[in-house]
Amino acid sequence: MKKLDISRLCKKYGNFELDVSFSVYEKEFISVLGPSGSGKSTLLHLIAGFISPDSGKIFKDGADITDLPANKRNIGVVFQDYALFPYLNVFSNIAFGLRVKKEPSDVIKRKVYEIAERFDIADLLYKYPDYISGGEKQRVALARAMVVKPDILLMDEPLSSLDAKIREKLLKELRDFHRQFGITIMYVTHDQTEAMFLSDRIVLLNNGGVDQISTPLELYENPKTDFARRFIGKLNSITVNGKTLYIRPENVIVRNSGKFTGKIEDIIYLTGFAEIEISTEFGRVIARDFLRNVKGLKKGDAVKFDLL
Amino acid sequence: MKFKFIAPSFRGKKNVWLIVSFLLPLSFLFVFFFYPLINIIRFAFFGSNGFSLKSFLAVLSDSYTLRVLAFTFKESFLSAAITLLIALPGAYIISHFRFKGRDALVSLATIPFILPSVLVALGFIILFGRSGMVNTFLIKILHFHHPVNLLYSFWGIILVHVFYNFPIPLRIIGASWDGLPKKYSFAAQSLGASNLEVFFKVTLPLLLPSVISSFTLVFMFCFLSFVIILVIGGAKFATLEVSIYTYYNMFFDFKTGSALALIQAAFTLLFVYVYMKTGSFAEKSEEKREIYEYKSLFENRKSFIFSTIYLIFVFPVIFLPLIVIFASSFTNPVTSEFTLSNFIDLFSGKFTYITSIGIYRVILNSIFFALFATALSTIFAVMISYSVKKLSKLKDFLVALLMLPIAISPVTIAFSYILTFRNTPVINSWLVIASAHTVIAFPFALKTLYPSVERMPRSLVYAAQSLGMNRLKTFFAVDLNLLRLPIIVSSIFVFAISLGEFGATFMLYKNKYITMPVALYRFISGRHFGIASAIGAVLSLMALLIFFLIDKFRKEVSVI
Repeated sequence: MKKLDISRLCKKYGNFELDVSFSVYEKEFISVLGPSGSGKSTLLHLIAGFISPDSGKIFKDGADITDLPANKRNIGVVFQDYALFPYLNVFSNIAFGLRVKKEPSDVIKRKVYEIAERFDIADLLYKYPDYISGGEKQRVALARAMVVKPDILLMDEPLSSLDAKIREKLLKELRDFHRQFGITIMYVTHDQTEAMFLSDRIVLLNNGGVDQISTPLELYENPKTDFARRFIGKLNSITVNGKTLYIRPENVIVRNSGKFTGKIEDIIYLTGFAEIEISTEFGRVIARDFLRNVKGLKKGDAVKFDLL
Repeated sequence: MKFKFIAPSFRGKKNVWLIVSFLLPLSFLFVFFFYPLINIIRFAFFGSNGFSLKSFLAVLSDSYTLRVLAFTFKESFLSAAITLLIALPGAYIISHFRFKGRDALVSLATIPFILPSVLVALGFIILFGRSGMVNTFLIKILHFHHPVNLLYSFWGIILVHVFYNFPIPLRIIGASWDGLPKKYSFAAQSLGASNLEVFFKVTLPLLLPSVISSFTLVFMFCFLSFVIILVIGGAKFATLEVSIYTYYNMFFDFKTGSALALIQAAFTLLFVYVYMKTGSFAEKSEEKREIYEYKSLFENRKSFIFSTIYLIFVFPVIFLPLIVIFASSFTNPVTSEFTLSNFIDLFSGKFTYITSIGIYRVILNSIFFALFATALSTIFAVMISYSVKKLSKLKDFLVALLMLPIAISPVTIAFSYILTFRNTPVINSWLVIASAHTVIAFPFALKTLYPSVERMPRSLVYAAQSLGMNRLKTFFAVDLNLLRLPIIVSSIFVFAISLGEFGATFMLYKNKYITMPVALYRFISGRHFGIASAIGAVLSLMALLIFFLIDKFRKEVSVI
């Protein structure tokens, strides 16, 4: 069932023009992935209702919400850096939406405690946002957005300002959160790893337009446009007999029984694996293999390889 | 003793410069600020029988003191509150819209600092005084029988204060509002808050620090108001500042004057503390400000009409006193016709009996004091900024101590000089006025220059030294170049403060050292408004020139 339907949604700023159509399904985790300037934040702000489109329509559960003000849309948002109100403690941050709805204070208290329990932040309720960690902030932001039971949750690059270690942990938390709550989520990011890890489907955005919509695996294995090929991972483009083949580096296998020959130009050692740059009759080719398999190879060696 | 205290941190022969640059400003401030201040405390608490709280408490509980205190607070509170209310829409406009003239509106914030208050008083008298433009209109055109008293009243004082100060909160709150990350109001909206709820539950709490700090600043300025009260309030109204002057000037009562000065200083210290502590909400946010966050004034009709009315009202009003002074300086006070006679009278010396010395000498005095104060306070501020850096532990305390003159009123400073130097020839010399100006201006110089020295990229200095230049040469070749802009801005600003200084000069001057603001006050008191306008026009021109000079550098260096 379609939860959200975006139909020819347009917004222009100077030379930039956003023009997108796509649908989000019930309980789906959909990522909007694109480089900076591709229009993903604008798209999120349009759906949340913070800005209004020049033309086009937004439907939620079949109803046209294009002209509905942001505070009447019941769409939750988790912001970059989480945007917790710095002058309110965690309890009041979470209670904010309930207080706006003028719920009775005992109800507010019960709901805040319940959701805090679920997000494991009950012991933080009387702390201020400046005094809790990045991971805790994410849970508070999720609790604040979820306690008012939104129909859809939008997330705007929530992990972009955190360091790599905590990021990995929070990614897992996010995935578990989505499974537990079963809410429809639209997640905006420029980071392909995040999108791959979290999403049911990915909307690849380029320069204001939708480039490709598919599952993460499909996007990786079968990128349809030049942009998608360049943006997602590394890809060798090899022209053989006038035909262009796109081959991932891990599908270039260096072995003695290989059909093709070449010379090693360089080896770049990375964590756990290495990339081998080979000059061949059809130009430079990059192969990727585990470190243990490239032991003994060195610059200048002649090698044989296969393309899978 | 101070030297011994500091010496361990200033090791090595080469640091003789640092020691000099530390001790020289400190000695000056000790002689011309701290020691006189101690004398005030002495006078307030020590009688012939040693220390006693009795006379101080008597002053504090005196019904006149209480009346003065009540008036000062009431007047300051109302002035600051109304100022804030009028500034708030302007703050909203400059933070949400981009339009031609927005920058001009923002730069007006320096006006209250550089426009001499006596000029503002004159402008309002010409406009609303008994024989002012409005009354002339009422009598000649509308055939009123008597002039209407629009100005010489409690609300007249408030009116002038509001006019004078409203660019301050406009700028401070506007800048803070402009810097508020949009994400907070977005978050509130997505949680169901309406625009009104967003304003009261999100925007206002986030703006609160800047609201408090600008309120405090305006409150303090009105608390210390002197010449405006003197001219407009007359004998009926007195702030603490005016009553310190009165106790000295009319009753020659040093004890009561000292007690009042201390009471006033206790309050101003508190205000300065609150101002420094609140600042404005600034978040180290890397959030890019998107173009769409600013609207064009023409985007919707409601905001366009609202903003246009506000701007049409505000812009002329802020320049009104200046325009009126210029107009009046070319007008014959009796016939209301165009004339140059005001200027001719001014420069021909026809009114020298009022100023006691020639007008050229008056202008020269003003420029001399301003140059003296500018040179000394700027050099001292640079010296202190460098030498204080080396004192890791005491640094913050010392800087705070040296900023203290900002919390002591000009009249109090002058009064402390009278207590200290009254039996020496110094009190009759130019030195007391020049020193008072320097002391008053010094905190502003330090506030501008100290952060600039702190922020200066050390690597450039190291680079020059690694290329074989000694530290002294490096200072002139590298440091001074890097500090050029802050030094220029601070100098201009300090020059303006000295040029418009009234309170301390008025307390201390001898006829020989009369300055332009004091001469202006004498003309106003003598009700020679034509000639007052002429000298006012000269002073306005200088103030405007300074305003445009500062504005030229405003983006690089902030003075307030």
